[in-house]
Amino acid sequence: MIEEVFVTIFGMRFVKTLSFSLLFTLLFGFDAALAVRAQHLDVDLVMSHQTLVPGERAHVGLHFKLDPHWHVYWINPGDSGDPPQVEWQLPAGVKVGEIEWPLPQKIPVGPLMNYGYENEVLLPMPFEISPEFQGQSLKLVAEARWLVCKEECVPGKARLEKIVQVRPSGSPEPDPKWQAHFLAARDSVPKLRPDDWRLSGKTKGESLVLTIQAPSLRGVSKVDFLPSVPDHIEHAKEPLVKIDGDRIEIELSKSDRLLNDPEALPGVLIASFESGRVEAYETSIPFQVAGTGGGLAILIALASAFLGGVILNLMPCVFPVLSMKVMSIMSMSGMERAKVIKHGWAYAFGILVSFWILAAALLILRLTGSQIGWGFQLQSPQFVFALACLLFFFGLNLLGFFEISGSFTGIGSSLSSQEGYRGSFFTGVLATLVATPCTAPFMGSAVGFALTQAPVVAVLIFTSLALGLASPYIVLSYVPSLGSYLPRPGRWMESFKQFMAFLIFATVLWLMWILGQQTLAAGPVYLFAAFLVISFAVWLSVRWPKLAKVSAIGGVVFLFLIGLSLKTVEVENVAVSGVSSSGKLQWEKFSPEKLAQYREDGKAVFLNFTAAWCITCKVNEMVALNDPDVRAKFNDLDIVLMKADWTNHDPIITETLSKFGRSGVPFYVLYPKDKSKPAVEFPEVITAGLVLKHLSQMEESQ
Amino acid sequence: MRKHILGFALAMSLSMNAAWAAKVGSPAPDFTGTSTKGEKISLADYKGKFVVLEWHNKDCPYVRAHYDSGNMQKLQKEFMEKGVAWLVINSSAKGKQGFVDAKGAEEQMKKDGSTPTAYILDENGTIGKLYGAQTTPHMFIIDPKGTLIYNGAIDDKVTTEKDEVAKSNNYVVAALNEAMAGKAVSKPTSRPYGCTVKY
Repeated sequence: MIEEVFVTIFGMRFVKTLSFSLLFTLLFGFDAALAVRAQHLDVDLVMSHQTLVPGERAHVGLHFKLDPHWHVYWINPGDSGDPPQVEWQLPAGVKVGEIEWPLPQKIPVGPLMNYGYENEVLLPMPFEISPEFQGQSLKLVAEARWLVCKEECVPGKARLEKIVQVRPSGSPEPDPKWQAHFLAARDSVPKLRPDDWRLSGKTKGESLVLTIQAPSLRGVSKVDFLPSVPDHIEHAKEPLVKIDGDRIEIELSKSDRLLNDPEALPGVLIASFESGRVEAYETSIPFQVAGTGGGLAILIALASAFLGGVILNLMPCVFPVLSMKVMSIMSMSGMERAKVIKHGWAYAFGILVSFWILAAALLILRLTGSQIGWGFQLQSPQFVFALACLLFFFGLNLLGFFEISGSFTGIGSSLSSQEGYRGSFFTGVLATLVATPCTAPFMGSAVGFALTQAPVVAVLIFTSLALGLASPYIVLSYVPSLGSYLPRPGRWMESFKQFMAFLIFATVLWLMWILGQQTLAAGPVYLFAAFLVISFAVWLSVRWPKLAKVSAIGGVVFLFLIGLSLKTVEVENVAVSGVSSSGKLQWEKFSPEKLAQYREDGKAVFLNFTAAWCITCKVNEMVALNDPDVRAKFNDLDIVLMKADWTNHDPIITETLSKFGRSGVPFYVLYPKDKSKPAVEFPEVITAGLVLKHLSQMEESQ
Repeated sequence: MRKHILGFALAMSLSMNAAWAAKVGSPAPDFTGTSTKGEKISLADYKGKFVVLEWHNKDCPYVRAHYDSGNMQKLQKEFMEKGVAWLVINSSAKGKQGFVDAKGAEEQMKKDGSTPTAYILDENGTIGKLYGAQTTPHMFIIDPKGTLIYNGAIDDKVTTEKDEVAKSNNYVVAALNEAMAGKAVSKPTSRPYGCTVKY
């Protein structure tokens, strides 16, 4: 039956085909494109250039000229249909990429909806010819298949051939007949959405709700979204669109066949403006998968959180507290075991409670829409200030600056006295506080994952991290034989304690430096004022114990006032990156637009996510990035160095991090020159060798 | 006349309220249609049996591939022998591609050697819209309890060539075999391919 139709129609059209090619031959001479006439359309293989040069890019295209009211389909055909496909037979050294789909039109068919092209369409594909290509010409053979429909559908296929001239050098010569077509076709291909858009999707009952915050779309009057994947939405239902300034909400009707929430909805956003301007953007809307992460993913995240917690003990920022805890265990070596174990758990409990508070704060702030992540509290100069004060006070105590007087209780005594369980508890709290600027290996991805999950799962992951951090002490308190490796307590302990005070002061110095980064010169001066207040209050209360309470309250009030007056100052970064004449790395300030620009220009970019308070970042920068070989390689390969400084709160950086599934620093990304190649992500702790290895790999693949 | 208006109103309310209600895991919407033999056929008649719904358009090349290769007739026969009710539904509107009257449908079945449980004429598209049938062949499977367990394509090979059909992985066969063995259907949905239903 179908064959009958085919033959008759083909027979009927035969005459027309002849006259068509005759006309072409007359008009364009021998070189004319030989369109193949098939049922309801003419199809043709065309080239943007009539002469190619090895090493230079061009475009090849599949050109359809359709009978009135007939259409071929987009990559997502909608409720029915099938997009055209091409299979190539190409000479060695020639590569053809995927079809770059021009924006389709919506074609309603009864109660259904299709996406496709009527009248005429050119489907461009990037074309590459290797610099090593030898020869005067090349022959392309394409096996094209399509489905062409009006009410009814007719599948078609054709073998298309094209011979193109090649010359060894010079520049490729555009084909005057097709160049404009190609420009127009590529112009109608949706462009990549700007980097500053913020996107999120969620399922709501029978709808998929997309939220797009797009400064560049301010003033848009009409918006539509065409998914580039079939089977996610009911295409025929008009979307409900709410436009509020630069915030756009699109509610699409969910398909019956979409059983699970999608991870993302890729598609094209079409924005129409009052002026008649229409822009189409290719984008992918990530979906919140609250609580739907697979059980395995959660298990892996729990395990890596625990491992990360264990390793966190060895990170430089935890070291002062680590030394304190080791000391307290040594002082307990004469105590009965049950007590030692209780101390271990009190310490663990302190860590747990602080992590829970941290997790709760993170989740609540996230719910209210703040873009924050791990270590966020150090973005607040007030927090850094308070932590520095606390550690300074603690250092004074270790030095034996004051003996605890009866009334000077509160944080002071519990923190300084190594005996009470409260002391152990607060050591745990302190360990957590100073641990937050560090990201240990395995930890970044686990915390990043936690923040995308339902609150219960997130809290579980933070708990696992806390237990990991506490685990060495728990083990130490349970296995007394390990304790026997520690030296016996004695007079030396006093000296050790005093020595530890200097480690604490070193940490204070580091915090002061962070504060200096955040607030410029003012911060450290304020901090010195705070130290004055602290030491004066301590002196008063030691000298006249009756004044202890008053001086403690007065001191805290003063500190509070000083802390409140701190303000963040935006620090300007250098404008041009690279390796300066002095050999120092010069970092350019990160912005999504600039990154996109460099990538567009075909430049390789190394992106460094860092923060002044992130000591792991500083260590990485010192040992890996500032390594002479690495610096030389950066220079040789002409890599743009960009720094995303997260010292202060920055929603754009937070969002960029979250695109990589991260919620904290350090984090490093190497973008190769070739835009189409994927970026390389580095682990949290890097070495010069690792960076060099990735740089060489990139160099080879270029 | 009155009957017509009532029927029209019913069809409208069905298509407006219950459109796209064929969700896997939910009760399959009940319907009543007329077969080529003039019988009234309801989904409820087949309670206790597996039911396959096959959307049909004799002139659609995707449907042709499955009939010209003998695949569809074979499946109908094979599963009806296992107690499955196989209902072919034609929602092509009068004057559109694939439309047939009772006589035309009988002739076509004879020509193709197709022997389904019944061939339902749905020229006003009521059942098609009730189920959200998009293409021919669009396939649905309903289990003995009346729950929809499959909604999608017949197989994974989007083709109009009869020789290609044998190379495909048939979703309907897989779903029926799994469900009949008491297992959950591993692929309960897929993108239905083929020609648009000619409502």
